[in-house]
Amino acid sequence: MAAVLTPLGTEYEGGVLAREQVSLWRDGLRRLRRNKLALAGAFYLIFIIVVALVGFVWTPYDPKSQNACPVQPVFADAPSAAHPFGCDPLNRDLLSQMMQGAQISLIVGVGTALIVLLVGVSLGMLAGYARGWIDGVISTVINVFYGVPTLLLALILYVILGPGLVNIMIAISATTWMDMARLVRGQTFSIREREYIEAARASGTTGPRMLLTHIFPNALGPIIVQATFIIPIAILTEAFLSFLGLGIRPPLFSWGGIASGSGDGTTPLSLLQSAAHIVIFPSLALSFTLLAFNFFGDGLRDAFDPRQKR
Amino acid sequence: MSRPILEVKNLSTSFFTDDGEVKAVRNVSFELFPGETLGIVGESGCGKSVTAMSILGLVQRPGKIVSGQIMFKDKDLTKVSAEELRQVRGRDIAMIFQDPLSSMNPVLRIGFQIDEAMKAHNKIQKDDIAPRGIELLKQVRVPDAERRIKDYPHQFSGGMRQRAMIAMGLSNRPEVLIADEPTTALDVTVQAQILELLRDLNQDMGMSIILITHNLGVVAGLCKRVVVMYAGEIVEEGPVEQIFENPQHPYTWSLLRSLPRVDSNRQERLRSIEGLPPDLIAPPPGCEFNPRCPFRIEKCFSEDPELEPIGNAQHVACWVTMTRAFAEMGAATITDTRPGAASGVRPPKDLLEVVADLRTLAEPEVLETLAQDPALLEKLSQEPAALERLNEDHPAVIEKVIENLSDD
Repeated sequence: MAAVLTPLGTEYEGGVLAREQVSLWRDGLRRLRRNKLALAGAFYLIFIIVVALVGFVWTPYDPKSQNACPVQPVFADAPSAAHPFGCDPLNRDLLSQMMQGAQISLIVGVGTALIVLLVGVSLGMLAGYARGWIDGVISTVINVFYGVPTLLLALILYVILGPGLVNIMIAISATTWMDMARLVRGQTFSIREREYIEAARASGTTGPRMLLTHIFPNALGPIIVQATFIIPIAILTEAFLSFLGLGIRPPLFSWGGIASGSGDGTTPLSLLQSAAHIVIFPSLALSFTLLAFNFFGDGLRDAFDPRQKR
Repeated sequence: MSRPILEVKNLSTSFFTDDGEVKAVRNVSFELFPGETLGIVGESGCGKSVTAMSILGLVQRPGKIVSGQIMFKDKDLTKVSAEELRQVRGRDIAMIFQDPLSSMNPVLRIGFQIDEAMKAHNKIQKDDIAPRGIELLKQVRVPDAERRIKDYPHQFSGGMRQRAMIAMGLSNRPEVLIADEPTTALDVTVQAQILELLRDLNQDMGMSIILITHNLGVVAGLCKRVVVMYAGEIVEEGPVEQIFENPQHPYTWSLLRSLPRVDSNRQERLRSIEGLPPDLIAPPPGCEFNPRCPFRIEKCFSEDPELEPIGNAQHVACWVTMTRAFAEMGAATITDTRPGAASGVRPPKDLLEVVADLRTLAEPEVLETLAQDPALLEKLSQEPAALERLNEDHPAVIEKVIENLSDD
């Protein structure tokens, strides 16, 4: 059979038949680099990550130590050369606390995003692929969750589950997974009708394999973008819960907790009047982090949206 | 001849839509013998692809195989479990699709997709999969296969993509290859290459091929036998040369006449078949082709002809057949292929249809009939919209209507 089935001709060999391949990812990365805001966001995030990592091995003072600052009779120490972010009313070093706060924020943000990915993607793909009554059940659950007020649900879950890093991530995930599930369901719905899925089905691909190797990679772009938007939401919710005294508890420090005075009995208002730096620095750190994630997420979305191609 | 490898018996497939049951395939039977190339031709929407999808069990909700058998090697594919059917797909019966770009997953490498088809069936040892991918690409004559196997589909040209699709189809050495419009999305020179490739694969590997197309030229180039489908039914079947030389169904005849020819008069307009295929929710009574047939007779409006043998392995479902049309209706000389042109038999029509016809045909004798039919005129006078339309185009008829009404 070789006689009939020889290649077209040797003149093709060595010739350039295709341009250098530019994959979707490399193309997206290139466009991401051109987006100044997204780039600034990325640099800030890298900075925060480095700070958080350093915090594991070294902080200027022990964040828990109540002898870090000179003892003050009434007020907390304002920022000084020895304590750039000042001290809290219990004479602990604020910078050291905030370095640990960065760890908590990132862990909660990324951890929540991972839980949401796991739950949202699997439920969304199942609903979109199986359709029928399975889709009906999952969609109803999604709608029910949408109907419950976010913070209320997080609070209730938090009360039920009890304090703890993992529990707070679960509580926040329960309020944010629906967007992801809905997005993935829609993506799967549309992708499963494409001809290449029909073609894969015609070549005998099994159901699970179809989902994992044929449908999932095609939905990956929007999924990643959605995940980057979930991180800041999780960080904000955690900070808010901690600010209310319902989130991360001492001896761990979270930005929200620090801003509320770390549960030392002062009200936020009196704290703002007597030692504004305790409120301002964690709030600024939180705001910048949220902003950075949003800029970066926006940049990612633009970079991987083919319609934005320039 | 040996036993058929694939035998479709009285297959009916319907889509249950909100508007009603779309009978996409009705009572279709045909056989495919080992090593044979069978063509299925017909216009868009004639049920060709649905037939193919039915064979592979790929018809999805709201579609359903209503009745019939699909015998593949003593197994009825309409009865086996989903898993058994999956085993058959891509291993024993492979399918290639019309548009190779949309039929390939854009985010997966060509090589990966070829391997996928093999991995789905464990027919080939794991270690052999990667080299086999390159071998397959070489077999379908993709140059520089070692390097190009790492490419993504968008880096392939249309013809190369279709070759890669065929490579995927061939990967498990299937016994039957169903090619659904494999050349439609390609330009003519590439079409020829792909057809040549299919022909070689058929000859060298002994693979049976079902070629689905609306292009009779493609059928002539590749197939030994052809099945002509219209409105979900087989209207004619037989050896290719015979069908081309001596088509018996007016639909086949019209299809062949509408092929552009190199040797035809350049001034002559391309012939087409008037009208569209019928609505498959409510097909016309009698023969489904009757609204478009130039040679229809009264019987065509009431009774649906069955597929009957007419000798030499040719089957046709027609009350008239072209032999009679040539002998009695002057088919050889007619240039007017409008409905009922040669027979003069017109279908019973309702009023608005008559008016629509008047606008387009404006044949004097129709106007005459209308003017002389008091019942029709009576009805017409009660349809202001129809009267208005008629008044614009044929004031003379309106005059007659008024005349007639004042007579009463």
